[in-house]
Amino acid sequence: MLAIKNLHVCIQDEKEQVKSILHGVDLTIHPGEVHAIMGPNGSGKSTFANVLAGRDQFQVTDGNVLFNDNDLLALQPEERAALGVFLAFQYPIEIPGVNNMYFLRTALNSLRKIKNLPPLDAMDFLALVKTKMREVQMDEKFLHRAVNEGFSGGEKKRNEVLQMLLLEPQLCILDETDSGLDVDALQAIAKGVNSLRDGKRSFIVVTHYQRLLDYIVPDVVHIMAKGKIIKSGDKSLALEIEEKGYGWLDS
Amino acid sequence: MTRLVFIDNIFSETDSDIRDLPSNIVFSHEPSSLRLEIPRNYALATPIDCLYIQKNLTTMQHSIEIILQENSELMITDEHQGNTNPYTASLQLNIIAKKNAKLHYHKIQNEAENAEHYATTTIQQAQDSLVNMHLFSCGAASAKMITTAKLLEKGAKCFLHGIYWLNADKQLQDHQLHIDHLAPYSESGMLFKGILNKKSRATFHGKVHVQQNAQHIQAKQANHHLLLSPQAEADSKPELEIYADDVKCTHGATTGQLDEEALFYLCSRGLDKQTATTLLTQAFATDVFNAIQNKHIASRMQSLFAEKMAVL
Repeated sequence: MLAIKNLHVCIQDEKEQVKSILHGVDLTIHPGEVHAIMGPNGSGKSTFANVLAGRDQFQVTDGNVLFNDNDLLALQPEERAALGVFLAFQYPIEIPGVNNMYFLRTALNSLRKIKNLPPLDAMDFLALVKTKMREVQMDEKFLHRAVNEGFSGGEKKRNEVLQMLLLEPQLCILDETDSGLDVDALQAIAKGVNSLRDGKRSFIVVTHYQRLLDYIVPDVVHIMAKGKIIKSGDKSLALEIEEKGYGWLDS
Repeated sequence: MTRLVFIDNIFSETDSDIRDLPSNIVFSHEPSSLRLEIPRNYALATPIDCLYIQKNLTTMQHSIEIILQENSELMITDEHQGNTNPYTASLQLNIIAKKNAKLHYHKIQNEAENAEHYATTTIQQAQDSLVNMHLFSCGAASAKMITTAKLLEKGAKCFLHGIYWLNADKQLQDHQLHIDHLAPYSESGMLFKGILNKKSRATFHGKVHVQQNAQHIQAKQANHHLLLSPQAEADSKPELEIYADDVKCTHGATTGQLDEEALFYLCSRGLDKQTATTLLTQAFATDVFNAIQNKHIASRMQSLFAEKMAVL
């Protein structure tokens, strides 16, 4: 499904200095797999997640990414979304003045249009979104607010997973979706994610902590450090990290 | 709903509908002028809709007088359109709101794209009167609107709101607003937002003047510009001139572009760039439209805005 080869990424900072962030990431994900990416702060995990979604502040200097035989890096963010790539943001942005329900319906209908499906009208959409909101235990009042505006950290993350449930992507990338969440919110979000696991859909779960992986059990765990994947293993690798930290991997 | 239609400056009996206009309202028209007077203690329940259409005239001058007697209330919409190119429309609007009167005035400037639109509005307000003005200005190659409000007696309240949308090279809009607080306990607000695309240019000059005896007044003033093109240019001059010492006044102005992060967020959910841009641009204008009390008129302005945005 996803084949990443030798991915090099850099960013230009405010002083126009080029800083290399990823230097040579290789990763292959098959349909239905859940891959966790762990690593210390500043190791490039979030950059990796954002590059896959198409954020243009990052420059890909080398390597390629094939997603179901499409050259992902050549596509605009909306084209990637249309193919089924979804990023649950670490810090979902607040968009004052854009009604959340209107946004969710526009997003779903944009993707339906590309798939040659008729748009959902307001009534059908409302019924659908209410069902999905119950799955992530999100209050319906958040439909009537502006996108993420004044939402708590937990509510923002629930809103991300709600979008994921509505849009039903093929590849779900969760960028530290667990950070700042209490146990209840964590469980609700994990439940939402797990409900999407159908043996075909794949997941990349970026996290600092083993805790999330108790709920979303990964098939493969990768450790990223200094812009590279330095070790991969099964879920026991996450437990090992939890116990020993990242220091031992350097040696 | 009462509908008054002027075609080429002449009242059109066939297009207008005045069956619902109560007989106690003074309504008179001549070529190039309109006068409305609402009697004491009378609140007109349904809005009056005025439409000015230019068909063949190349120069149009029109004056409107709206007088609200004590304790009366009126809601009115002015819309300006045209289908000949080019022409000049000049409007003089005089508003007098007597004690405790309430006016909700809406204006849609949707002139033809090669037209010129000049409007001068004067507002005079007596004790405890309220004037709410809502402008949506999207047409004309060149538009200049000067609005002057005098809060003559205590407790008078005046709120001026506007959205201006420019989407053509060399298009020009100039908005000049002046609110004069001449009495204590008066209150005013100015909220004007401009959205500029292509090589267009807008200027805003807002002035709030607080006279020495106008104590305990409140005045808020804000002007914000959203530039959708690097070639668009906006100039803003928000001004406060205060001679009283017990006042609450704020003013501010910003000019910016669309938030790249928000655009990326929307696109990453499958919205194409244009849809995302439209959504964020409409969001920028939302609070100004939300300030319109009559939801029917608000949605009419918003639909027109959406229609104009569709050719972005």
